[in-house]
Parts: sequence; C-alpha cells; structure tokens
Amino acid sequence: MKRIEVRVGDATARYTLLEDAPKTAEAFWESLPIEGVITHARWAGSAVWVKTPNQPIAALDDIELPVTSIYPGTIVVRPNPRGVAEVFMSYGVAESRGPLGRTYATPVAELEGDGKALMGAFGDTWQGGSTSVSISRAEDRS
Amino acid sequence: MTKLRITIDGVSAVAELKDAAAPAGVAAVVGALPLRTRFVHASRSGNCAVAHDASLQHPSVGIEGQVSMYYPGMLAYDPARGHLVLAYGQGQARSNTGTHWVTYLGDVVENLAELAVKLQDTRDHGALDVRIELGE
Repeated sequence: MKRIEVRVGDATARYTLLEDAPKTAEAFWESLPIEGVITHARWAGSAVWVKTPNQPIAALDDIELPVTSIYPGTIVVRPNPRGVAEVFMSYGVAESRGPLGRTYATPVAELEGDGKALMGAFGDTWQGGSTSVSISRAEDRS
Repeated sequence: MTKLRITIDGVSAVAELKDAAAPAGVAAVVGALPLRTRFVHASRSGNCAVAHDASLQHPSVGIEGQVSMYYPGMLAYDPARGHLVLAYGQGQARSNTGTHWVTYLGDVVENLAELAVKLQDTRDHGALDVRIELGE
C-alpha cells in the first residue's frame, strides 16, 4: 500500500493512495513531491487546492473516476486546460464545483486518522490566506 | 437615495442602496452603521467577500428583491444569517446545505474596480478589515 504525507507548516498527516482509479493514482504518485501554495476554495466549500505543473499528473486530460462529492479527508485531482493539475484536499463538506455548476474530479487519496492539525491548517487558509504545502511520498510503516 | 461608503485597506467605494425595493433590508443595515467588521472570502459562493456580523442579524426581516445569483458590484444581504455580501464577479448565495435567497440590497457605483481588487485579495491574503458607514 502506498502512502503520502501532506505538510502545511508544522501540521502533517498521512494519506493512503487509493486504487480505484489506478492510472490517475499512479500518475499522482509519480508526480510527487508537489511543492506549492494552497488556496481556499471559493466554490467548492471546505477544501483547499493547489495547482501543479508536475508530470505526469499535469498531462492527464481525462477524469478516470468522476466524482463530485469530496468527502472530508479526501484528495481529488482534476485536469486544467492550462496544462496543470488541480489537486483539491477537503477538510469538511465539499463538492467539485465551478462558476457554471458542478464539475468532476478523480479521487486519489484518503486521510489516515483524523488529521486534526492538518485539517485545521487547511481551514485556517479561509481567513488567513494562502500558504505553502508539501505533498510527498511517505515511508511505508505498515 | 441611501448611500454607503465602504472602505477596505485604504480603498473607498460608494454603493447605492435600493430604498424602494428593499426598505426593511436597507433599514436593518443602516441601523448597524457605522460598522467595523471583517470581509472574508466566500468558500462556496464564488467571486465575493462576506461580512458576518451580529449587528446585521435580523431574523424577523424578510428577503426583499429576492435573488440568488451575484454579479460584479452587487451588494446582497442575508438578514437571517447576518451576512452582507459584496461581489467582484459572478457568484451565488450558497451554504453547505444548498443555494439560498438573499436581498438585492444595492450596487457599488463608485470605484468598483479598485474595490474588486481588495475583495479578491481576501482570497489569497486572508480576511481584511472593512469600515462601512453612511455615504454623502
């Protein structure tokens, strides 16, 4: 089982890479580490997102397993026509959505445990503004 | 016509309120002035910032000039939640339970472009202080 680690400041949490969408999950894994800036969603609800030009995830142009609900602690990926991938990380009730209505994304990872500190750091961006994020491969301790 | 002066981070703009179409909403908001509060970017409603202040909360005041969609420069009011919304682009009144109706309270008529930049800044840079007072 592959795991990833997400870090915002001192807050970290581990996620399990999902196997429901193997092509997207593998591309996401091969694109790590992702270093960027998370910004709070303005349409999607309780979620933050980061754009990445990393390959091969940025080259994916299809949505392998389309979902619209982004359950708490889920990471989803959706392609962006400008050649980057959008990575959404939810900390509450969230939905893949844009100005024209609902959109779709592929889930790639799921939080292990409650990830309280990281979820709090995600929520803090709503009033505190954007901040740096690091998404990397985690050592497998299982 | 009732006017509001809205000042965020050194940028000042004027909004004209819809006295005829939303008299109860205008009275409720004017009754809370002068107001110093914070504008926070919307998390579900799109291109707008929201002031949430107890002094704006009036559950007995109904929705007037009922709208759900926001357009650039629009000022909307949700009396039950105590939300005053300023849009810098397209948006929609929405919470985690779905879409809502709000009162179409007015429009920014002076200095919208500069104000819009400040409203958009709340997304990347976080909440900003706002002062809302009666305009001339």
